[in-house]
Order: sequence, then structure tokens, then C-alpha cells
Amino acid sequence: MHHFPASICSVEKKSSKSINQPKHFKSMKKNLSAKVCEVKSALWDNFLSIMRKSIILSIFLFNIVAFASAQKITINARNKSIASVLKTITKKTNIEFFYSDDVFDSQRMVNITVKNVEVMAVIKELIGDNYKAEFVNNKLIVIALNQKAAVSSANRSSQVINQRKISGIVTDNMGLPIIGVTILVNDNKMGTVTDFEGKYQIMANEGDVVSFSFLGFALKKIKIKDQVILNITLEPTANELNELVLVGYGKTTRDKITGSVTKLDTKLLQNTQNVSFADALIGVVPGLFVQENFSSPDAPPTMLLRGVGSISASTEPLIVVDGVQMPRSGLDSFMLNAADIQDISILKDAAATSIYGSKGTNGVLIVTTKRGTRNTKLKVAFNSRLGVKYADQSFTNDLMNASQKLDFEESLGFYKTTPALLEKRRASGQEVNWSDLLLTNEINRENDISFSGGSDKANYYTSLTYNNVDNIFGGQYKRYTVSMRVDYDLSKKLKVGFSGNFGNVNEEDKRTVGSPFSNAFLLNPWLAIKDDNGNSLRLLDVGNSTAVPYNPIFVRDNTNVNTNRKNISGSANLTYIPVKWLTLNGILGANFNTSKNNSFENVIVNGGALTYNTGDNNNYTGTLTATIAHSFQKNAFDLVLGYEVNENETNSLALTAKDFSSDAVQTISAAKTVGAITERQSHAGSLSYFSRLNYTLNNTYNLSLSYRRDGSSRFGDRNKYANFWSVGSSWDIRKDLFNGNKTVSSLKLRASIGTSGNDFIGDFASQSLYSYRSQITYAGSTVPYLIRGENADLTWEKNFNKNIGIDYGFLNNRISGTVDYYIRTTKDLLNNMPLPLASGFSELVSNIGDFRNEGIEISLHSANIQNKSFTWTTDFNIANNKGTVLSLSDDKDILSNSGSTVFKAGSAIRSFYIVDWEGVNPVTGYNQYRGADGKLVDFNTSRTNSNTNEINNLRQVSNKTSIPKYYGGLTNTFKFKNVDISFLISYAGGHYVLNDGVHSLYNNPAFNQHINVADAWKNPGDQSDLAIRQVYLTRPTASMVSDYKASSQFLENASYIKLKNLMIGYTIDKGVSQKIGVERLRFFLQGQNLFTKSDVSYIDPEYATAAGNIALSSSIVRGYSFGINVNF
Amino acid sequence: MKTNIKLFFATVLVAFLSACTDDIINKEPLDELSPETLFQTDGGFRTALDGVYGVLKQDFFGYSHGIYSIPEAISDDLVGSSNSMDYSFDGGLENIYPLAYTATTPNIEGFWKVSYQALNNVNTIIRQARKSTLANKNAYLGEALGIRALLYYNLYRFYAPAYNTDKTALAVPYRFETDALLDTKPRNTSDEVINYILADLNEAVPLATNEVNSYRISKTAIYALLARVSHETSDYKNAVVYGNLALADTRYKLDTTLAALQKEWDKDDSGEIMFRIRFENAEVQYTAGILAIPVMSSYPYLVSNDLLILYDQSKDLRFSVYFKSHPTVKGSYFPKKQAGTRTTNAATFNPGNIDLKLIRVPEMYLILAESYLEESRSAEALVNLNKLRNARGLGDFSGADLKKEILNERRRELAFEGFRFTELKRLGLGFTRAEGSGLPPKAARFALPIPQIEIDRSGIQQNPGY
Repeated sequence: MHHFPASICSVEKKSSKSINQPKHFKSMKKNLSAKVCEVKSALWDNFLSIMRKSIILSIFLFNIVAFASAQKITINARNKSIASVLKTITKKTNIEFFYSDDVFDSQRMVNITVKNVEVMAVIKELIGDNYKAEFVNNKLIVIALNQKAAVSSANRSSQVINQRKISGIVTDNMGLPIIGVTILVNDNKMGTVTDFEGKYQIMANEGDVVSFSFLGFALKKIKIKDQVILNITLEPTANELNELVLVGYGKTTRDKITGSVTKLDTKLLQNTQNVSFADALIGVVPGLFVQENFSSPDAPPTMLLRGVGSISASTEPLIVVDGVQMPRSGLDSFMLNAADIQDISILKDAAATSIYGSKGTNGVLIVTTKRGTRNTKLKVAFNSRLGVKYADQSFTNDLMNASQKLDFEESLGFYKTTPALLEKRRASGQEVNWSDLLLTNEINRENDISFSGGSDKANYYTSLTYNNVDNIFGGQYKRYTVSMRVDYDLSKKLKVGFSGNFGNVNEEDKRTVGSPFSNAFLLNPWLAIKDDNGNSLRLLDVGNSTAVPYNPIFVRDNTNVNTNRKNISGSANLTYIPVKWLTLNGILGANFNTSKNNSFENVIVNGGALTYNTGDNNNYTGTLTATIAHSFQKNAFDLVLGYEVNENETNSLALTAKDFSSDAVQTISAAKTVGAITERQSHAGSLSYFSRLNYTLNNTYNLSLSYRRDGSSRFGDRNKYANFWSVGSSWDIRKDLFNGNKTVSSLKLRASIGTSGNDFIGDFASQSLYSYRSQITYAGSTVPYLIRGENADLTWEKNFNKNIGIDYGFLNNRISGTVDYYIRTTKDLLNNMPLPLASGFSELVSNIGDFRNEGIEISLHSANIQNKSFTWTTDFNIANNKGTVLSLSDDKDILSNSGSTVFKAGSAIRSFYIVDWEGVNPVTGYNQYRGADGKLVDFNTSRTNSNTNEINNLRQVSNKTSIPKYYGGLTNTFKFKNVDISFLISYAGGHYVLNDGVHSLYNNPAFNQHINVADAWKNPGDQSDLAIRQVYLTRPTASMVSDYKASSQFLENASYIKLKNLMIGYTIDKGVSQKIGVERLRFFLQGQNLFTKSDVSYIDPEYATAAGNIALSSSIVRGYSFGINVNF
Repeated sequence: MKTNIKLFFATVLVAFLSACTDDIINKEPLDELSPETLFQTDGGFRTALDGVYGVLKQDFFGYSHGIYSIPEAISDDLVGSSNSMDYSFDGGLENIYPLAYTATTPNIEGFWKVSYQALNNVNTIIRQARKSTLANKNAYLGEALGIRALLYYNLYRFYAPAYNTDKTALAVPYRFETDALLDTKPRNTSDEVINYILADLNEAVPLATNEVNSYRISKTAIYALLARVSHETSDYKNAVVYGNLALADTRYKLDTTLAALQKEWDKDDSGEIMFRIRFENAEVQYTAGILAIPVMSSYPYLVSNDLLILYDQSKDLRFSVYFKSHPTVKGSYFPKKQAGTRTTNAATFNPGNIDLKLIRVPEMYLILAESYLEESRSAEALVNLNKLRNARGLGDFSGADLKKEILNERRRELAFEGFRFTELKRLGLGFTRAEGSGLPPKAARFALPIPQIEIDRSGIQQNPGY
């Protein structure tokens, strides 16, 4: 007919015939669809105009060009169907037609002869009075029922049609309105959904059957007699197990899942004030340990699922967005905006992850983004938020003031030869509060708006986000993202979907010389920072640990550090359903990330200097799947067969340039001297074949089998391919044993076993290659050198997972949750194996050993109170994990974190490797450490005969580790009338950190010190917790080694409990908000990191590294925000 | 329409499946290359050889600092500064100068590590050169063997007692080009190492050419190394032969004026330099701050009086070139010799680089003088000594103790180039500094500790005394 793909009103002839409908519905339906058609065409116009405005999508989809409509044609047709006449017209004029075969009998035979007559006149002639035709645009004519004529003709033929408007409210069994219930008449595609108050309106005739459906509730069908008001109460389905859940390469209902999969309530995503949406995952997913990363507004949190499964390769889960795997630095893809996310699933065990093969070892985070809803009018959602954050500065109370510090310096003999200098410093009266100078309050703003809607064959979603953060270091961060998504049924069998995102970040950093926090701690308070004219001095008398003592204030004010990052990503998704039981799906996705960083030092400093870095990281994924689903009698199965190609490329360029004539132009071309240039390029590829078979018997017993074969360019020639498999099964115990039981509303047992892998290592790690990477030059040219040794046997890290779990629900699912027990064995761990230096290398990337993680995850959801005006729900989760090093090649312990943590066969993963501190020997003033034989050994810190080596050798593997033993969160949500309140408590415990910061505050006398240092041991008999401050007489300003760092003295319990989030919302009564044309209007107040309890000194315990180190990186940052949600 | 769609779908499918799988999982690196690829060309050999010299430029806890700063901190030519503001870049003032160095002292570990890193690169070149079909392969092989000899000589010099003291003492593990990456080897004796060095040099002599400049190991540099190793092992006969062969290269001769000598040390510009590790002007590294860092007002070392009194301050051209008044310690001097200003940028606190002048003409005259004397050819010994003395503004030597004067002249000429440490070992001497610290003759600590990390990983034996 017409080639226009998504006709709103026309339904293809064949398919409409294939729907076996009772005859008497037909006339009614004509009537109804005609009416809906009018609405739809207006909507369609609306849709098209949005489309046209979108460059991306118009390239993807449409190519509509406006033509004059007053074309004239000549037609001579005898005994032809109207359809074929219209076809001829399309050929001659390029005008296409929309109509529904249900409404319009296009097969009626006609005779027509016209000469040079306007198109519209011809059409009117053709269709007669009962129908009307109108231009939707210059190229499209819609043919619809002419209502007046139809009604009158219906009256004439005495066909009484009792169509009327039916309205009502849909509520659940507690009387609470349900939003988004789908309401259909006679299972027709035409329908509506309930609004924010559960209200709806629909047109129906007597005898029609109206159905109400909503996920998690039993379908309800009502036959219309004479109702006008129809209020419906939906009953929750006996179990929540038929909720749809995202799994690898598909969706399935919860009752069929055999693996461990957590579906996230995406409402939670609103709870974080941070730019990175993933911060909302903190404390809500059982088994997923998430720690906030404060380094940049969009820095993703660190995530660890079910313990440490790798030493040196990535431990971050794989991120899959709309079926497209994100690059290795998955969450760094900063374009993903929380408000655009529809669903998140976290896949944990083998049955769920092994279909991702060599990338699934650390779990998989599957994200789908919002798409428009079919058959809905334009919906607009607008969210705005204004927040403030500030860092805890109470640490300054523990630091020395200027006179205390100068006294301390004097006592160490700094001024023995220069007493005048001391007097000068004392006399200056300087008292610098560095933390006031370097830290400020953060102001963050976020606005996002989205438009969505759809007809019965197409839907669209588009959004715009803007973030603006003035951060605590005085830097500025601006981000905007634009996203467009559209899905479109080309025909009943063929559907396409497109998605496009664009993100742009501009960041101006003010962190230049060292971290502002470490400067705030360590810079001396007596330092002169301004000259006599009040200008900042470029140099300080004593800087913080760099060779040149730059003044961070001066550098901050005279350096521009600008970063720009852009992301363009998109995917096209084509689904073809040739027969009911077969779905073919193809996804092509691409993700382009570019970044540009330039750091410019003003001309006034030293003639101007530019450091310029640019790079891109691009990822391409192509996936083809065939899904076969079939059921017969009590058996149902579905089979997924797939093929996937993934390629990744990275490029970077870095250079320096200096000698500029003006600050105004900061380009390389403007520099008189260009320095070293470093360019890097790399790429990797993988291809995979995968399959999964799910089999269900009697809706009670499920079995799933999966298999994947991966080939990767990253591995040695001997191990190009690897195979992954899983077997999972589940048993709906309730159906078999508790059917009809009122207490037990759901009970399901799951078990799975299988493998997954980790290929997140260097692209060519197995080969010994010459590289130019570190820019070694000789005689004026860059020269190559061998950067690593060859290991052709290098292979994937393999995970063997066993999981057994229960999904439970009691008392109508008022109490529900899951319990999982897992054993995760990682084999062939990748790590740098230490090599004898005589080999020419320090280490070789090798497969060096095996780990085991085992643990229990429990989640509990409880609807404590649930009535019309007040609800209270509690969500609690806790995970316990115990990681053990099973074996290491050659039984060699692997030290990490400068030797303070160890991987040792038989011990816990990342055990501390430290000496036991036993206080200070009151006679000698030295620290005492306990030897293996139990004897105390003095740490002789004198420079000439120090026994550092002896103390080094006293280090022992401790039973304390840097990895939490348990972690989780508790969320309480209250709703009272218009007010909603929720708070999240997150916690982790059983782990430790070595506080490098405290060690610095005790042992770096050239920098500011802890106030207690003045009370260190001085004379025999002194009782002190702090050993003698032993300085090198010829260089007293050098850092001291009075305290041995890798000791229990600096080991702090890193357990913490945080009031991570508090949210109070108020929704305006709908009656009130509607007066201003708003569907829903909500205000909220949110607080973040409001309360933290931890033994870690000064620093936020979430800042601890996986290796158990914590430095003077950041104190606890609290935040508050105020915001508004508006829906039109 | 449906046919079109089917066709489209089928095309996509075929395109997907036929995407050349080899392209996807057999990728070649883009910014790295395999030895087989690199050594297909002359350019590949040249750049890989330069890569070895480049590796040696690593400064902090690497080679280019350690080659001077480690031996000089274990000698009596320098005195550590007592000014609290003075510091040394590599921490040598703190951990080596007090003679408290251990198996974990990073400078000592770094020197070992970088030496073997360079050796692995050299061995790869030797292996490839031996099977190469390129016309010029001999020249590359010769140069590579020469570098290998130099690297092992310096390893022996640092980590073993002197050959003259105990030639059966353990030196360092000697790795050949045929050794596999993961092979571990015990330490060879000094005798074995010296013999391997000589074998490399002797093989290199007919292969190497003089078509390379002083930035690379030339045939002349190989003769010079043969002279140095022969002299070190008291094979004075051969030292005479090779010393003369080295000096036969007319490109290299003594500077005879103050201006020329200043230019050599301040600007790296001199005909005396037979082999050096070259640093370009634009490079930002810190080799010129090894023993004194004038741009950061740090003077970690003063020149010892023992050394100062050896010079005729009024006549000796070297005095003003090698020393300068210490700005804070009155009446003292700091070693200015290595603090060249060719690449220094005081405004950015960049002390700059100096070329590491590892083989110089005057050393050859000194080797000849001493070796002739040992061979009882004192007239020729005197001639060679006087050539150097005259070039440095001094008259002919007229004293009685020629041997002592030759050794004094060595100390004068080669000050701060690491030779004093070797000399003390070679001659079986000890030293005592003014403030009392020092090492007795043939002290075990003259052989540096084998890095603990190496012992842990390969099980080789530690030197006595650590």
C-alpha cells in the first residue's frame, strides 16, 4: 500500500483477519476507532513535529519533505478496488494514505474516470460521504469514518449503538490508587492507562469487555452493561513472581528465573544528589558493595559484587545499557542520566551471568532506558534540584597552630643554625587556616525534562538534562545530556528501535598542587602566602611534598585546568517475528567518548605553559539473537541463540607547550616551544556465540542451560577461545506444597552452577613488545624498548559459581525477599607475577592462583503498615562475604599496598601484613613491636644503625582484611497522605584500613603535624603513646621514620554506618495542581551523608582503597538539596 | 515490501556473520611492535640500540644518577652537607653516604634493575642480529656486544669485590641472549664475568665500526673498554695495547685550554668524550643535579679537603671547573663538575641534564701511564702522564714517586665520575672521612648488597656483611 511504516489507524488486512473476532463487534469497532483516529492523528502530528526537530532521528527514520498539496491528477479505473486506485494515486503524486481496514472497506470495487482533478476531490469521490479524508501533512492523507454521516447512517439502519464514556478509579486491595494500569476494551489495542490518582476514562459499548491489567496484580475483566462509573479494585497476584525482570539478552518473569537476579526499584535513583546515578546503588542491592567516589561530580562509585574476584584485572561489574555493552570503564560513560533509566537488574550468579562469558565474572548490571508508552498522549516530566555540600573541617582542631608548630620545629633543631629565621617566622604572626582557603561549599544544580508518548505503533522519549556543580575545591562542572529514543512497528512482524544520546561535560578543576585536603592538613600555618603588595606568593617556604614548594593558592589562581568530555552513543534495534514462536533481534550499538584536557599556566608565572591531553575511547557492539519460544501442554521452553561482536579502540595524545605571548590564546599553535608528544593507540576485539535454553514444566519446575564461546584478541595465541556454561534450576515450592496456603504466598527454590570469566587486562598483555609509550628518547628521537615479557599461555580468569537461593513471600507478600548462598571460585587469577629483576622485567602478567569467595545474601521487604492514608515499608539487606586465597603459584605471597597487605595461600583475601605495635618503650622512647616469638623489639630509628629491616621482617599475616565481612543497607519509606519520607542507612563492617594520613600527621615534621606530636616521648621515664621523634641530624626536615607505618598503630577499624540518605517529599493535592495544569507536583528535601559513625580518623571511610589504604584524601562531605518534580 | 525487509534482514545477518573473525580476535598492536617486525630494517636496529642508551637515562633510582651518586657517596672525595636545607635528589646523602646502605636501599636496587632491563634489550638485539640477513648486521652486533660488556663491567664494579681482591668471589648472574625469560641463574664469579666481558669485547672489535659518534659505542669505545677492563684486572700488557688503539682515533683528543675544559663540563662539548649517554636540551630530567642542585639552592655535598689539597689551585685548570665556593658553608667548595648548565632552566627549578661522559680520553692516558709503569716502561709512563698534566695547565712531573703521582692524577682528573670508589677497591684501600666515618681496606661493604627483591625472587646469594 503505502510505504509509510507505522500507520496509526490502518491495520494490515491480513493480520486483522487473522484476529478471530466475533462478527458483531465489528460495527462498534469501526465507530470507536474512527473517533480514536482523530485524536491519534493529532497526536501523530505532534509526534512528527518533534521528530522533525530532531536531527538524529530524522536521519535515522524519516525523510519528509513538504510538497504542495494541490496536485491534480488524471485517473481512469474500471472495476478496480479502492486500494489499488489509491496505490495508483500514490505512484502519481507521492501522496500516501492511512486508513484502517477495519474502518474502511478498501476492497470495494469502483469505477472512476477523472481528468486533471484535484487529488482531494478524487478521494472524496472515491470514499463517499461515510468517510472523510484529510491531509495530515503535504504527503499524507488519512481516511477515517465521517462520524456524523456514520451516526446518521447507523440511525437510519436502526443500529443502536450505546457507546458511552466510562470513568472510574483503580485501586489496590488497600484502597491505594494504582498508577499506570492498562485498560483495554475487548482486548483491542485501543485503550488507556490510569493517571497519577488511578483515574481513567474510556469509551465503551454495552456488551464490551473492559480489561484492567497491571504488573503484579491479577487481570480483571468487566462486561459493560449500564455502568458509567466503574471503580475497580485489583488484587495483588498471589505471588510477585510474574514480575518481568531483565536478564542477559532478554526478559523473563520472576517465576521462571533460575539465577540470582536483583531488580532495582528505580525510584531509588532519585535519592542521590550526585551526578553519577550509580551512587543510588549504595546499600540497596544485596551482595553489591558500593562506595561513593568523591573525586569528581560524575565519578562513578566503586562496586564490588560478592567479594574480590581478581587481583589486578577489573573487579567492576559489566554494564549493559539497552543491550549494548559499555566499554571497560563502563560507568565512566557519564552520559547516562538517572531520570532516563527505566530498569536496572543486577545479575549475580552463574545462571544469570555466564551468558556474558568472559565479561561476566564480576556480575552484570543491565540497564534499560525509558521509552515512551504506547497509546499515551504527550507526557512531560520536569525535575529540578538545588543542593549544597560541605566538607567536615573539624580536623583543623587537631592540627598545630603556628606557634605550636614553630615550637615543635625548634625543638627538633630546625633552626639551630638559623635562629633569625625562626624569629622572623614567629614575628610574622601568620596563622593560615589552609582548609578555609582551599575548601568551599559546593553548590549543585540539576534540571531535567523529558517528553514521551506514543501511539499504538510507535513511541518516543526524549530528554534533556543540565547539571551544574560548583565544587568544594572551587572548580566548576557543567554537564548536559540529550537523549532521544523511538520505537516503531514497521509491521506486525517487524519492529525497529533507535536510541541516541549526547552528553557534554565541561569541567574546570581547581585542584592543582596536590589534593586540597592533603594541603589543608599538611601545609604549615606559619607560612607566608602573600607578598607586601597583597599578591599571592608563587612559592612557599615549605611546600607539600613536591620538590618545588608551590603555593597552591597562587597556582590555583594562575592555572586554568579545563576538561571537556563528550559522549555520543546510539543503538539501532531491529526485531523480526516471522512466526509467533520465533523472534529475531539485531542490535547495533556504538559508544564514542572523547575527552580533552588542557592545563594552562599563565604567562605571568613563567612565560606560559600548556599541557594538553586528548583522547577517545570507542566501543562497537553488534548482537544478533534468535529467540524461540514454544509451549505445549504443561511444557514451555524458550531458546536463545546469539552471536555477538565487540570491538573497542582507544586513542590518546598528550603534549606540552610553553612560551606564550598572551593568556588569551591557549592553543598549541600559539606556543613558541612545543615539548614532548605522546600518542597511544590500542584496540581489542571479541566475538562470541551463545545460547540459552529455558524449560518450564507445569509452571513449577524450571531448568536453564547456557553456553557461550568467546574469542578475544587480548589473549595469548594458545588461548584464543574459551567456553562458558551454566546450569540452573528452580522449583516453585508453593505450587507443589503450599497451594492455597494463606500464609505462604510465594516460595521458590533456586540452584545454579556454572562459569564466567574476566578479560579485563591489557590489550596485548601476552606479548613481549617494543613500545614507545613512556617516551624514552635518545639523540633527539623517540626510541623503543621492550616493555614486558612474553607469556603465550596467558588466559582468562575463570569463575566457578555455585548458588542456591530461596525467594519467599508471606502474608500476601507483605513480607518477602530472597536468601542466597554462593560459592564463587576464581581460577587462573591474573596478576603481575614478580620476576627476578635479572630477567629485565620486574613482573610478568600471569595466571597466578585461585581465590574463593563465599557468602550469604539476605534481603527482606516488609510492608509494615498499609492503609489508605499511611504506609510504611522497610527494605533491609545484608550480605556476608568471606574471601580466601586458595593457592598461589609457587606458593609465593603477593604483597600489595607497599607491602602492607598480602595475598597468601590459605589466608583471607587482602589480609594485612603488618607488625603488632605494643606501645612505646618508656626507657628508650622507641616504638616496640612484637616479634614472632612474642618478644618485644625496639624500633631503633637512629639513622645510622636503624633496624628497619629487622622490623620489616617482623611483619606477619594478620587475620584482619581490607575487604568488608558484611555490608548492606536499611531503607524505610513512609507515606502519610501527601507526605513521603524515606531514609537509607548504609553500613559495612569487619574490615580495616591503614591510615596513611595519620602516619603523615605524626611523621612529617616539615609539614603541619598533629597536636599530639608535641607530647611525644622525650626523656627516659616519659609515658607516651608516641615514640621519640627521631630526625636526621644533618637534615631534620626530612620525613621521620619514628613510627613504622605497616603496624597495628595505624590500623583502624573501617566499619561504618551512615545515614546515607534522607528524603522528605510533599505532593500537592491533584485538585490543586490541576488548576495550574499540572498532573503531579512534588517538592522534596534531601540530605546525604548526614551522619557517619566510624573509627577511621578524619577521612570518610568510603574513601578506603581496596588495598586497605586511606590517605588525606577527603573528610566526610555532607549534602542537602531541595527539589521539585513536575509531571504534565 | 516484505521481501525487501527480509532481504534487508538477511543482508545484515550475512554482514554480521561474515565479518572477518580473524580481524576481530587477531589484532596487531598499534603503538607497539614485536622484535621480529622491528628488526627487519636497519632503522629498527639503530633505534633499538638507541633504546638501550635511552633506558640508561632513567634517573631517580635508576642508572643515570646511580652511576655517579652511588660510588661517590662511598668515597672520601665528598663530605655530606650539614645544612638542614640541603638534600640530594636520590636520597643518597641519607642512605648511602652514612654507609648504612642495605639490600633494600632503593638506589642500589634501581641500578641493578635498570642494568638488567638494558641487558635484556641488548640481548634481544644480539639474538636478532645473529640471525639477521641485513648487510650491516655486524656493526649492530658489535655495538650491542660493546654495550653488554659495559653494563656487566659496571655491575661487577658495584656488586662484587675487586677482581684483585678475590676473583673467585661471586659477582653477578650473567645472562646470555639465549637465556629464556624465566630462567634464573646463580651469580657468576668475578673471574667468569670478566672473561665474558672480554669475550664480548673481543668478538665486538672486528664487527664494530667507527661510523658512530660518541653517543654510541664505537670501535674506539670498545678498545677503551678493553683497556679499562685489562687495567682493572692488572693485565697491564693488554691495557697498553688497547689504550693506544683507543687513542689512535683522531676524533678524540685532550682539551688544552681552560675554555675548552669549561665547555666540556658546562656544555658537554669536547673532543675528550669517547662515549657518553646523551641528553638533549629540551629534555626535562635532573642528571645535572646529581651531586649539587644549584637551581634549588641545595648543595648536599662539599668537596673533601683530602681532594682539594691535591690540586695546584693557581695553575690547575680543573680547579675552577670542578669546584665552586659553597654559598652557605664558608671556605668550602661544592662539586660543580657535574652541574652543567647546558639545559638548566633556573626559572622552573629544572637543574637540567648533563651527558653522562662514561669514557673519556684522559682516562686512557692515565691507564697507559700506570700500565707502562707496571710493565716497567717508566719513560713511556711519564710521557703519558705529562701529556695530561700539560693539557691541564701543569708542568711536567718531576717528583720521585711516579706511581703515586699517577694515582693522584687519576683522582684529580676523574673526580666525581665514580672512579674513586673503584680505585679504592682495586688498590685494596680503605678510607676515613674527616668526621671519622669510613670503610677499612677491602671492607665487605665495598661490594654493594644484592637487592633483597632479587634474592627473594631468584634465590641468589647475598654478599657477605648484609
